[in-house]
Amino acid sequence: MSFEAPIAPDALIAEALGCEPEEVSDGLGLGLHPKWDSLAHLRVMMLLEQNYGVEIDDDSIRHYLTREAIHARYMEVAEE
Amino acid sequence: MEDTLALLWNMIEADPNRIAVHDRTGEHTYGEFAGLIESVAGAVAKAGDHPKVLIYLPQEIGAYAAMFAAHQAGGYYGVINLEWPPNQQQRVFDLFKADAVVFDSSTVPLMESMAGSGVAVDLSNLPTDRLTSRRPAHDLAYVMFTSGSTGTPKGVMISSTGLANYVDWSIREMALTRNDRWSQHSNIAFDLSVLDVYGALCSGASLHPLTSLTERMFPARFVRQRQLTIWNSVPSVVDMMRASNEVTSDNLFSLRLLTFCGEPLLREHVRAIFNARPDVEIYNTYGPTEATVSCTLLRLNKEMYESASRGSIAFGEPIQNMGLHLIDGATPDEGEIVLSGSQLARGYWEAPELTAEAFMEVDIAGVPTPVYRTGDWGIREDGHNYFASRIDRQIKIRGHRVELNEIDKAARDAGVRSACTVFVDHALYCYVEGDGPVDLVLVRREMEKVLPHYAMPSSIQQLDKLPRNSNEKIDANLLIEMVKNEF
Repeated sequence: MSFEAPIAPDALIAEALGCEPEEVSDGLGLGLHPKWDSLAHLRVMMLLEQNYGVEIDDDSIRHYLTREAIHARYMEVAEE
Repeated sequence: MEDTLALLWNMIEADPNRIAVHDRTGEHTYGEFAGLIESVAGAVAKAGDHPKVLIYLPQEIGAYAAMFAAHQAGGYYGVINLEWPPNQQQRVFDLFKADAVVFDSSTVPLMESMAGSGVAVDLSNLPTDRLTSRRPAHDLAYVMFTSGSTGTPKGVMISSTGLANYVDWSIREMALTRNDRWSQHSNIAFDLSVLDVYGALCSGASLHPLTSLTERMFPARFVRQRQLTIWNSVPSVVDMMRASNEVTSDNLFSLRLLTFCGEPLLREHVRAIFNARPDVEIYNTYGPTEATVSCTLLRLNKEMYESASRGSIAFGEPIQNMGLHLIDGATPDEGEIVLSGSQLARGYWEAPELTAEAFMEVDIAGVPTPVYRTGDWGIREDGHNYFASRIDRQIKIRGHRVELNEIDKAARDAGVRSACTVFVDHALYCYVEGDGPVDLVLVRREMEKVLPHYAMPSSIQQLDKLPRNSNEKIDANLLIEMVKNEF
């Protein structure tokens, strides 16, 4: 899998939530936005797996609950 | 017909080294399982000749062992759903008044508030004396408690003979063998799990509970990882699989049979599965907790399922020693579904009035017959039985009888993934769930083509996800609360 041009984190979250990237803001997370429910979290995890090489397990499902955690992963991927 | 405990011991003796349970803690053989059953039985037997055993454990080998241990000790059991809030758990504790409570380190904090609830059996510190021979069986096998989210939980009393009939049917009808590998998706406090637990362990198969977040988020992956041969769940789990694009031949390759119960199975569920695995068999079943999990069957294959569908899939004919009748309808082909036969519950735990309301004698073809009134409305069409609606989902609006499920179907036919309509203060509110943003104007326009004007919802709203209970059933009561708060 290539990580040369990963999707931007806010675009990834917006795609998962079915909203515009402009709606993605600081403090966003599971249960903190009406569109970030368990089904949306499933989509978040799948997009993280496909785009950022995140292995889906219980730890990652619990870890990537916020925009901040996803941004941090994006920075790691971008530096690889 | 052998009872379930005898069937299990036959399997243990036939091959004690075979895997019985593969749970969060690893693989456990039938031999290990037998040892645990005897140890727990030894402990709970101290609580009386026919102990009431309350199982306060996660979905692991210990919980399954406690079920059979209760029977080994001549007793019966109830199960606490660990996903319930503490006050609901407390209600079941108070109602059941157990002679023995089986717990482990994960549930010990709540046990501290349950002082006086009988013999405390700690799985991590079991006594050494085992009960190696079984005591005479009690009439009851288990008591299944509803959540009681709005009041006192109802405990459905299932008999040992009813359970034996159901398990005997499942072993023969599903041609279960020791090579089968079963899912266990439903919570053990939900009656659908009874098929998993007893179907698997009484046939020498292995049982695979889904316990982690990952497994529950991606059930199709779990099927592939465990090479499951049998999947059993409510149909809406297929929606979860579809949302992750994982209803694929690779993921479902090992399955030979999928069984569904608990809510209407939809054509799109079946189509998705057959598109991935045209050779697999799908069973649609129907039955309330009060009839021991399920009591009808329709076997579906790729060639015929469309002909057994009118929105939802037909649910088939009654199984052995069970009867299904439609009463109080305008024609013989419609009416409230009432059930008769050996799987009927003994009634509700310490609730004679509730029992009398639901369990009664009715005249069936001139013969007074003990039945359970399901509160479901059924229709018979082209030789198939269909679930039409809950009777309490039939409403009257401005003098017209309206089926809320028909409105839901119109919304689904208009292109939404799921829909649920509720009736509050003489108005209809339809909530829908889509694969993405839904064009509600278009949906309304399509619905107007098939629904009479009086059945059109005054409001159609999209939710990212319709509220569902722990068994993935759409929770209409929560939607009603939303309407009351919003409008």
